[in-house]
Amino acid sequence: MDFQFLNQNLYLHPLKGLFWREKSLLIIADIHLGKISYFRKSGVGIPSSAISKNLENLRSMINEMKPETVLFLGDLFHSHHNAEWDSFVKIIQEFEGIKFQLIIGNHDILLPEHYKMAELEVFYDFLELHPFVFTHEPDEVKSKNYQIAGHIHPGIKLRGNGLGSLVLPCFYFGEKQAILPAFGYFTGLYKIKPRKSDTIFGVVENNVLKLN
Amino acid sequence: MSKEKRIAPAKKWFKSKGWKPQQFQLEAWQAYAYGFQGIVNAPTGSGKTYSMAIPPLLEAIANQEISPQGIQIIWITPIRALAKEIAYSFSQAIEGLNLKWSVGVRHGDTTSAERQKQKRKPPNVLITTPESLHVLLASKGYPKLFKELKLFVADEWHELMGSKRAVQVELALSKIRTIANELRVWGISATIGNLETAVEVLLGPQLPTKTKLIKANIKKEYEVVSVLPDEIEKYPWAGHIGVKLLPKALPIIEESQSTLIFTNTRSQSEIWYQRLLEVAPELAGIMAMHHGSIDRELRHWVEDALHDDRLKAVVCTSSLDLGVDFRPVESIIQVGSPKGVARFMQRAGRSGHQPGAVSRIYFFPTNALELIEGAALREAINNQIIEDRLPFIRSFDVLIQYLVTLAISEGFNQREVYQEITNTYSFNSISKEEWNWILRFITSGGDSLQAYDEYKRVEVVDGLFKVTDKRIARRHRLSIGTIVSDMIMKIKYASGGFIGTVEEYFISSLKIGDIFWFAGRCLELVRIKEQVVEVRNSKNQKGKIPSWQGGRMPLSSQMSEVLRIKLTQAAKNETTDIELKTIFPILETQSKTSIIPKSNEFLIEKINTKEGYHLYFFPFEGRAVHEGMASIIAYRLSLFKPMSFSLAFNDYGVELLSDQDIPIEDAIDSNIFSSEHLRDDIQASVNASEMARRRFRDIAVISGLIFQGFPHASKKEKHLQASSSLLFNVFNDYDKENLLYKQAYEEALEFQLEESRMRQAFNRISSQEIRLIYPKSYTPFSFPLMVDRLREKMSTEKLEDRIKKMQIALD
Repeated sequence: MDFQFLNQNLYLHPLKGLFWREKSLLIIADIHLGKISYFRKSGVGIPSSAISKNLENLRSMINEMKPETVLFLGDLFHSHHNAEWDSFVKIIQEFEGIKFQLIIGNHDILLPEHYKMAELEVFYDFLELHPFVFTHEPDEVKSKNYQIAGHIHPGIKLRGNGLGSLVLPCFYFGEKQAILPAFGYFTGLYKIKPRKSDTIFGVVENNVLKLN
Repeated sequence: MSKEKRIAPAKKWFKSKGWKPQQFQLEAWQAYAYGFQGIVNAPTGSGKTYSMAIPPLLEAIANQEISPQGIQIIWITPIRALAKEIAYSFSQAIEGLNLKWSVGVRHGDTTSAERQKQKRKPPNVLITTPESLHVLLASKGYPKLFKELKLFVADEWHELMGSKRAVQVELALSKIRTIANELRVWGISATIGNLETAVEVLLGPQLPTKTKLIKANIKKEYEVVSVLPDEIEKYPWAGHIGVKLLPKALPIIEESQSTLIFTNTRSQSEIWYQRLLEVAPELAGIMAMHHGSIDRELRHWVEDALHDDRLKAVVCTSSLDLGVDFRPVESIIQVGSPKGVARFMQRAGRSGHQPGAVSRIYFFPTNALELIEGAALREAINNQIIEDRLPFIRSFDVLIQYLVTLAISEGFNQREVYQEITNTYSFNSISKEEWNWILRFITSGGDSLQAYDEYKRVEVVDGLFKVTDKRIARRHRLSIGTIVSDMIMKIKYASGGFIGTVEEYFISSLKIGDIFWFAGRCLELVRIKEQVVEVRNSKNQKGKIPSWQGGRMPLSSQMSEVLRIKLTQAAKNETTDIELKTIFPILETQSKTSIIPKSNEFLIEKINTKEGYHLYFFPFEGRAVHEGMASIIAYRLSLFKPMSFSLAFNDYGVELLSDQDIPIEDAIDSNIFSSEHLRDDIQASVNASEMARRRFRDIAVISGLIFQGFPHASKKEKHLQASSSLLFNVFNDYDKENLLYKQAYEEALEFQLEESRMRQAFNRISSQEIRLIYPKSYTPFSFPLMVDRLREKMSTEKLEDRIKKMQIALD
């Protein structure tokens, strides 16, 4: 879904990424790669066939949007190194000419060498690209720009008169900041409580819907 | 030595205490001596402990085993609080029979010093819980520990049987039997409808040749006194708190040495406690509250105080259904229908412990119609109509936990263990494919291909299934058990001192500074720090009452049946019950505006109001069955034309509400209440996946997919947190053949929807005469459904269309 915001043309992708047309920048928050493998290594029997889901989605979104740059908004990798990182590196190497950047999130505890070998450009605090400033966690940054963050895994609860309730992953645009949904397949939702002035987009199956 | 002579020392000791062995005790002593196994069916407070504690001691005397080595007896009790009392009874008997046996208690509260001591020198009699028994199986050298075992007793077996803890007992026994050659297994059980099955569950479906079911012929006298409202015309038709009758509890409390007031939910007990204090402030200090969310130490204090006659009254929930005898308790009050005969008798039995004493229980209805249930309860007790306990079968979650338990101690040989478990009731039907799946699940995480990745839990080392990773072993030891706690938060005074727990979602509805009632105290929320809610006492007396999920029980199938008989009697004016006579004016209104269905009739009422088009029908089968029926009927109706319904249900019937006329007349003609295609219609209508998702939480924890956590989890552990719902989604997307995922559906059908009972209900309705009535307005039967807030929705519209009609929830 297209969304004009601060005179910029944004596209909200149903696979839960944000594409900024002016900069040809694809922004992806909270993939938590390696999470399923991490669980499996600890003896939790999650089907390994589910591992490939994140990378498939990543590949298909890049192929569709053809960005110049992909910015990971933190929590790219869930925990310590495992084989999922190597598959990830292979995939981003397929996209020659696309620049990949990462803002370090609280989960990103891989060694700097890993990022270096993957040719990822790493930011430890934030990245300013007027009129936006990108961070992982949505806490305050000293910037005049509008903040775009991840970390929260926002979900929105919907209630219908006579139709029960359900929670959807969502894009949140508030007064001072936006929060992107978690891209990762095996990640949970945190229910946010928006204000009336906020703008919320829910992700339903293969669609993004404006909810207010 | 003759068997008769063998029991002489016990008779002598009983005599010295001024007791006389009862018939069932003698029978049990004999049966044990002759090598029988089985179940002793005896009520609490009847001397059931000595029916099985004595005979192995007598055998020891005969064999001159005055102070033997190793564990001779394992005594399983479902509640820790009982262990102390059983140990005391054993010590007395051992001393009285001049033996020198040691007695030990081991459960979750046992100190590690005591455990170490037990490890060095195991007690001859070990009193423990199913969980602690499995912890023993998780420690190296367990075969040596069980080698000398002669007797295994599962006490309160009726209580264990309806839970996965029974599966734990079955599995532990399947192993211990192969170690202890002379083992005899006995259960002790209160009366339940399916005692024969209880024997099979305990001893395995291939029963040993010598089995016995010994029934204590102790007829306990129960007196059910329904407390009647003074003016039935003014008594509410709906509701389930029942405080209107509360003043009538005061004389009962006053005249009794001590009174237990049973409520059906924790919130209800908070309300009753608070209201009792308001009307009778003199009870402050001599009245207490007891429910499952109150801190264990506080509960222990209440139990001790009851025992020592320091309390005049205790407001409680099922948390006091079981436990040590409280001799000072003279009266029992039951607020609201207990919905089951066994539960009611159990509670009634908490009073009148003196031999021959009548157990009197006062029934306080919470709405007018509920009085019928008082009459039904009395009838059921008089005719000994008691519920079955449905045993869990094919609980693969428990099996997986058990296998990992074996793998962290001695390791196991899969052929041997397969043999052992197929002899249990629970896993008698497990197929070789299922077994192989389970082995694969614990060794490769369920993948059919030996995956390249680093899955690690159980490995095969020299033919033995073993856990070699210390972290996995440690985590497993901390997770042994089948009781899964809710998502809860601790409540603590800011100044220190733990009070209890509440469910997270209640706290999330509060703001800092809000007042709420908990454990009979008025508390102010100070702050929330991680999983701890800090509070201080508040002088303000108005506050919210927490609600806990899953409090109310549905009407049991036995109760439903008696209830329908009572209604028929009322319809035919053939009743002598005071309860039915009391509500006669209401029943008269029902028959004037509609009808009271007789046992061969099925009542449907259809009315229109400002709210829309209502359809009511009354199977009288209990809320659980009605929930499923409501969805199925709504679904079948929507096949006539697309429509949306709002559904409500209680123990008596169902309401469907729609904005369009409901084509029930056509639907009756096409046999809408048929049990044909029931499974398909369940799949199509009932939100079975939501129900399964809820069941999956326990399964995920028990099978080790979710780790509930250490007190101080490291970063590594924190990265292992996931919700069961998330896991359920992954299985739903990628591995529908996963046995744990399938088990969630089976459990939802069996225990939540009570599919087989629902099928029977549909069959019954098909044979009944349908009476479709068009009353002018609500009737006494339909009114409570109209006001009931437990509503579900049923829609045949598409998700996206539904969402467009929905709004963001602002709490």
